[in-house]
Amino acid sequence: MKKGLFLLLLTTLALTGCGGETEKVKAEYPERSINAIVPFGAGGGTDVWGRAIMDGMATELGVNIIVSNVTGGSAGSTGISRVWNAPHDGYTLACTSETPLTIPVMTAITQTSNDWIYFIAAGSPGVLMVNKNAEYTTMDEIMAQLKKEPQSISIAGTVGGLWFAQAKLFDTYGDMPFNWLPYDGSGAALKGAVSQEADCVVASAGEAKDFMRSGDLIPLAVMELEAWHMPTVGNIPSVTEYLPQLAEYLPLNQFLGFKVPADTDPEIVAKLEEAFQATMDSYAIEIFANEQLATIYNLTGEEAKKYATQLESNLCWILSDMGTTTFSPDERGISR
Amino acid sequence: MTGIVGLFQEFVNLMDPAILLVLFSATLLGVIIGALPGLSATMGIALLTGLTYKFPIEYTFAILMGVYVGAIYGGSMSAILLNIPGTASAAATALEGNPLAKKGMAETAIKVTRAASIVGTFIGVVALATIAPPLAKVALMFTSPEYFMLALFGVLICGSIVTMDIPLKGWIGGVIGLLIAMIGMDKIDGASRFDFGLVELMGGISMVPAMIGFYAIPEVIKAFAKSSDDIEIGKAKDVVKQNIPIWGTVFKNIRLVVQSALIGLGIGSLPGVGEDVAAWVGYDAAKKTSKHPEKFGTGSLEGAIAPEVSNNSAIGGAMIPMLTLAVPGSPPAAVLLGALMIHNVRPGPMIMRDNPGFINYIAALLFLAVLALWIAGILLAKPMSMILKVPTVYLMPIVSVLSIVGAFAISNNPFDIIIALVFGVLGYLLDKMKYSPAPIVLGIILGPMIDENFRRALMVSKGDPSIFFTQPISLFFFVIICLTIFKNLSSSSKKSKKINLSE
Repeated sequence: MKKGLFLLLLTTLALTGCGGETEKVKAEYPERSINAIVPFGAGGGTDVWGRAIMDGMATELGVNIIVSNVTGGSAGSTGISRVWNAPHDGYTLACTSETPLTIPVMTAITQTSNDWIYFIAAGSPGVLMVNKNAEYTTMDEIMAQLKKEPQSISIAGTVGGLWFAQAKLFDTYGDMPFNWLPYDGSGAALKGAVSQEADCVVASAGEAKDFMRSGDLIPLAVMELEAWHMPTVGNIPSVTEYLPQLAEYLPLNQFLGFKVPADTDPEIVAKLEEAFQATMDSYAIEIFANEQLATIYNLTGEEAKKYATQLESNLCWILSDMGTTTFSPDERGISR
Repeated sequence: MTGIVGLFQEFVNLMDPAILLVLFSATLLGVIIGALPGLSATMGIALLTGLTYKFPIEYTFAILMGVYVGAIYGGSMSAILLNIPGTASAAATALEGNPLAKKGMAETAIKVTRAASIVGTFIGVVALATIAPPLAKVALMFTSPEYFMLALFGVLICGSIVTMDIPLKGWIGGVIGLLIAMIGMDKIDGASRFDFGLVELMGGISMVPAMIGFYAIPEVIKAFAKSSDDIEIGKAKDVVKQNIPIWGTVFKNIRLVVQSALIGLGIGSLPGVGEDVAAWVGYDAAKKTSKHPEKFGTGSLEGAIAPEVSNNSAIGGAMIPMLTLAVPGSPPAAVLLGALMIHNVRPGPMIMRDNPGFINYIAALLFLAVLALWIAGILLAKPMSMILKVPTVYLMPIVSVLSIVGAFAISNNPFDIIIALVFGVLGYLLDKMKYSPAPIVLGIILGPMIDENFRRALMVSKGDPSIFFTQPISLFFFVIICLTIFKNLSSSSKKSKKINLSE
């Protein structure tokens, strides 16, 4: 017993000794496995994209990338702050979507897009849809009816984040006073529209594809500046064709990818960028994006930063104007 | 027809030696968990949900379903050998099983209850596979007012039936659960409620850590609080040699089996009312309809069969509303619901679209668990009297470690450990005051459903409350809710009158 304990002590000492030794030598990044934290639940968009990207990057970098879900907080703040509080050494990455961009205005956490370096992979466009059995099934009819009788047509959506901002654009800036019906998550909102509790719904094309293909929901407009061709469904006109005044609030795009703290060693960032680019160029990702009905953005460096800052500004200010934020974007240094 | 083909397809998919081995070991473990007093089916599933979070999903549910089926049966073993029901659902079995053991017929009693459990689970599986898919289609007609009424009905009925003394305590428990459910961001306006400035509380109380707290930690505290006394453990061997045909005995009582199974299915499918109530009602009905009611309480095989058929068929019954409406039919099913959600299977009316094969998959797993139970039961019958000798001194430290690891593992969040501990202490105190945890947990699960659907229904009707009474399904639930409240109030006022008279 005593002998065993002694052996254990010795082994531990030996191991820690070795550990100390290697740390002194500056090793080539990455020298050990990397952690990637998904701030949302398993199976969601951020999770499946995060895992797909990390899978490719692990091969490129030649180390394991361990993806774990750290959920909780508001807009994914628990997982994101876990990454921020870890050493900024490139061994803890944060898988992200556009939703964590609202953390500075929703929570007491103050880091904005300036404090992060973004690697943006792809996103699925938002689509305004109407139930096939609804009384009014074209954009023009719906606009006319809402003008005649405000709140006579309802729209389903989720609370907070991107899809909320998109659905609320019609009401706030588009002169289309829908009756607003919030649901817990896009899946529930789609169910609300399919069961015709709500007439219309705004959700990502990826999540709604089955309903559009089965004909239960008719796509009316895509929340992009340009029209979008949806495979097997056809062309969906841009929302700006009906409501040109919404152009100034777009793009309001979903994006999926990952980020690291901005003060990470530039050499490490360069390595990550290289691995990310190689992953995005792979055939596997192309197939994956097609399945998910996503458009590949493949943005890094300055481009990605510009994109994230622009979206952060649009999203935070729209939410703030609607009165759903806890802190003003001004307070956090987010310009309009 | 497609249903049968689908079910068969799932059997073929499950014919993977690794999955079968996992399912078998889980059932074996479940029987042991069920048999050990202090470890319940709900606790076992709650702990394993946390521990198996990283496993591939096909293994996770093989483990959870195996433990569920095994634990509901396992309770009867200690009920017979120890006269202490290993789980609450075996309490009725103890009334007949232990006298049988004292008469020297322990082995026969164990074999007969095993056969009854197998038959009961099997009937539950058949009901699940045939009723759930069409019910999911009906459930698509459920909109906000229907969901609100159903969830409210669930909390009320669970509160009035599961309670240990008066229904009011069950309802108080339900309200405590509803209050806990209000913590965090609401789903209608996105406003943060009762977060006390803690960022961790903004996402709400995590379900599985809370359930580990309510079901596992109070048992650990109880074990420390109570002095252990020596219990006499019988051996699973017949002293009296009598040739009683096991399956013959079960099938001779076919009317009793069918009656108990229907009771189990019905009670199992009521929200939050689970295997333990099913067993009592099944036992009670058996006594009332038996040709030999005088034998009950002295070691009647009929009396041992009825509760075991009922509690095991309640498993299938409890899964039906859990899968089709996201309203769990029993406390273990409530934990399973939490497990499904963290594995991103969304139970509810959309399950047939999102995961078309999932109901059949669960039915197939349950069916295979029946077979595993058969073998596990035979293997464990003899060594069980040894296993039951393991003192709680060794058992409870293991449970406490598993509780902490399980609570942490789901989202790697240390705050969840605090949640499990806080709810553990709360659960212990409430248990001391004879509050059952079931309505509290159901309140936590159904709280957001009640809150969100109530408010959304009023948004649909633009503030007109008549929306709750003008749609048929919603009106139907409203009438049942009124009847439940009225019945309980009148019976408790009668009770208090009786007490007054006797004084």
